Amino acid sequence: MPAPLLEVADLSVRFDTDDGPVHAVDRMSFTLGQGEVLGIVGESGCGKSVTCMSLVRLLPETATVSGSVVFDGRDLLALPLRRLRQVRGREISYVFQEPMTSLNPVFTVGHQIGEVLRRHLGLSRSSARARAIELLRLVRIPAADRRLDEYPHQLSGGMRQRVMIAIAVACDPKVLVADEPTTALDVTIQAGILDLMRDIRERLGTAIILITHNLGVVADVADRVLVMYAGRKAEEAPVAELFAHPQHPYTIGLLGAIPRPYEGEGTRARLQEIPGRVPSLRELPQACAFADRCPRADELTRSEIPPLREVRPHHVVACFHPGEDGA
Amino acid sequence: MSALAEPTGAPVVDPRARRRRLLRRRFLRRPMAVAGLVVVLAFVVMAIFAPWLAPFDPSATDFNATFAHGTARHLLGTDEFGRDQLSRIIWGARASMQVGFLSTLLAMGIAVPLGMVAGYYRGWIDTVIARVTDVLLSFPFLILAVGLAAILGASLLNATLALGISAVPAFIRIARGETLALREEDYIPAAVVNGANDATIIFKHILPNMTSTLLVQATVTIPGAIVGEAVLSFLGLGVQPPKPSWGTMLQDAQQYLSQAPRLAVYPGLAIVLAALAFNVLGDGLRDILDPRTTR
Amino acid sequence: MGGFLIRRTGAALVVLVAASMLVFLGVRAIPGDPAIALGAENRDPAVLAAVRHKYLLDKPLPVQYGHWIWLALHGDLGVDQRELPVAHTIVTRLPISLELALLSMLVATLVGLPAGVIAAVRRGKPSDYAVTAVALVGLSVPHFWLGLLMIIWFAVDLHWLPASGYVSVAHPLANFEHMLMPALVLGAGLSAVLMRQMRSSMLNSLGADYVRTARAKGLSEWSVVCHHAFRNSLITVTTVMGLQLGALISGVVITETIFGIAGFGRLTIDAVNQRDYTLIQGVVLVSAAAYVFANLLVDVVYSLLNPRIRVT
Repeated sequence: MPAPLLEVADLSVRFDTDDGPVHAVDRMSFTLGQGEVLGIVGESGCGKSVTCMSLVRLLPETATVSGSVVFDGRDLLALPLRRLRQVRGREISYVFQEPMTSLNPVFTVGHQIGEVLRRHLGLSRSSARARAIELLRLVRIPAADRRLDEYPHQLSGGMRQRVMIAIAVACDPKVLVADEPTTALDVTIQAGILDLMRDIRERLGTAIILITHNLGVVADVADRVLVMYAGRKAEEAPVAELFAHPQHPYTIGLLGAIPRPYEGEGTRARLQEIPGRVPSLRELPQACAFADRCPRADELTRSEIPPLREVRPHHVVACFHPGEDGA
Repeated sequence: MSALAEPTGAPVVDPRARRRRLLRRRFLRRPMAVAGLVVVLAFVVMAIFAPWLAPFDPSATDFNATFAHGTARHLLGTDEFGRDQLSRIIWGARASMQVGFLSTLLAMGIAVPLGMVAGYYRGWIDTVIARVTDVLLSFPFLILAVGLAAILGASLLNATLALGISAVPAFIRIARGETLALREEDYIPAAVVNGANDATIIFKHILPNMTSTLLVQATVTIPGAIVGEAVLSFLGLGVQPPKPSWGTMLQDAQQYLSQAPRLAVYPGLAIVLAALAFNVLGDGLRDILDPRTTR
Repeated sequence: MGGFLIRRTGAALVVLVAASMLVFLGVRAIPGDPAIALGAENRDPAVLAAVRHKYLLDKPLPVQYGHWIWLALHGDLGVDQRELPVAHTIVTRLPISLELALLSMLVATLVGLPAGVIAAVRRGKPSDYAVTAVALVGLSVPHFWLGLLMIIWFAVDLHWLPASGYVSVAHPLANFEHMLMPALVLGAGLSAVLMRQMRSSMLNSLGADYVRTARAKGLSEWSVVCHHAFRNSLITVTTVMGLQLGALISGVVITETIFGIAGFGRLTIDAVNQRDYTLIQGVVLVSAAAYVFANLLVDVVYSLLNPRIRVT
């Protein structure tokens, strides 16, 4: 089995706020292989974005990151900033959620794409321009040469996101981190963006970390899925396996909450909701974070943190009572 | 079995009181702002109690003790007429505080209703009020004071009016901005559905929510007015000598710059201190009211 | 961009007309016979009759206004107490004040903008506190006092610079000597405002999503701050500059008075002290017009800087 591209071990992120520390991520570990698509799923506030931003240290100064992020033999968390900047945008690049605010309104699209090309690949202005046009075509933006001189506000949401993707793949990175790339877009546009990402993986062989709270998106694009809850990994498995045999009660709950069309037999199934709320991240409880909302909770789950165990081939869960039967 | 949930017995917390406590805590954590408040209060006290605080009558001349340096009798010295500088500075605080507060109140009284109307009704009223603001802006306070002095003659009133009117545009802008934002809040349609008319909505629902922003702006306007009063009095457009004002004191001092430069120093320091105190206080208030502040 | 500028010009014209009306009414509001006021206090009946005839004082107000504006547009702003044409006096003095204003703005931008950027980048560190403190003091120190102090130090004590007076630009060195302190004094207050505004605006820009993207692209910190964030903050700061024009005009008046510079600002004060109503009227009108025009210029600059306005 080839060495993984990215190895994250015991990643923890703590924010220091006025009302005390917030433990956004607690000892996350995962790997990413060449050309693999890893989907990270979880509800808002579970720490998925924070995890991914911490890979190249994009978090604000109030964040303390510990653990290790080994990429291509180097620990990114220990790398001096100057060297880290050579990795950012060139070997690991990002696509963010809000394309309107993620693009600088005062520079043209061409300028913003050209920046990475000139900085990392040392291209001249004219070759950067030519390459930018190629990139715009790659992300399927029509009339690419005209678009180059336009400003973000002149483009639609979907097109802006494509521009973001163009910027992200400009230097042919090994890893593309997409943080909720379709959440801010219309459903009809979403499909196009996801198509594009699949295309990029196929044509360029880029590994992708796709963060989303939408299981449907994950089912569509990912090879493996990692479910996060309250800053910890709850479950991880290849995508088909996860959907067919979910083990963690949280995952089961999430899947149960997906609206399904009524098939016309018997009574309509109710949309399952998971009762309760996400626990506060201000303490690191020495217990299963999901215990308060879990139908399988007992003494054990309330007093110890469940370790990750492989319960089926390539399928790990952090649960004392994993199993598929109804929650 | 009752379908309603049982009361939990948890104490009911009044959100307003809680917020006030939070604001007070944040304020006390900022020594600069507290210092600013203390100095401001000191000046206000100085202004109100001038007759009792000043050791001498500010107009009392003493030709035996002109240009005195600081002595035990005249702590800050005397001027060309032998008038005690310390007393004149204490009395000068009156003019400054008066103009500072009154002009700001005048500005708010005119501007806030206009701004709220502009923000609430928008449309052509908004455009008209915007043009009115532009017209007011085209007369900076000094030019306005010049014009008013021609009509009314120079006086404290003239200064108050000129400074008040020139502070109107800033308040209009703020009142309008806040109204535009606040009118989108959900409790507005709720109030309408409950039968509230426009006036009630504006005064009962929108106005109370902009008081903190207005307060912050006031703490910026007042020091401007204090400095402005000094400028106008200095130029002969405000308080007329021999009435004590920090500005007229500087006007006197200008003639004796080579002989007695300290005559220029003390009134100036008073102006700077008063303005600085308000500015620091204002900065502190703005900081603690900012929702993004974490301390 | 065209649409924006047309609308702004239209607004400017409306404001100009309204302001001129206010000035007109102001003069008519002076207690006493307007003919005496406009005729430089000369009570000779023949002169009064001539003044009444010239300004159509017997006709209804709107007619008087129209006539007055007509005269003004033709460069006739009346004659002052010393029988000199007001328009001519104003025109000769304006360039001096313009030089002062421009020099001060130069000082303010060169000092204020970089300081604001530094304070924002080093937020919470000693350099931030230093810059913010200096700015706060700069805002609280009245320029005329600063001017007096500088005169005491540099002119009276050290004799390095002249205390007052003005020499035309034809003699650049002497001109510089005379303008240095005034420009510094006026520029100081303005730079304090710019410093704070720039800092606040940069803090906003630096927290924006596009800065995160710029960092994620691996751009150098210099590029992120001085290229991406700064360019955006510049737009907000331009608007602030526009708002400071009024303060600049007031500042010019004060500075010229302290430093004995015979410019337009000084003319304003002299006019009031001499109760020269025709001169006051002309000066206030020109001041308002200058402000409106300068504001329009700022609008043009703004529209050039902001692509959302420049290109639709």
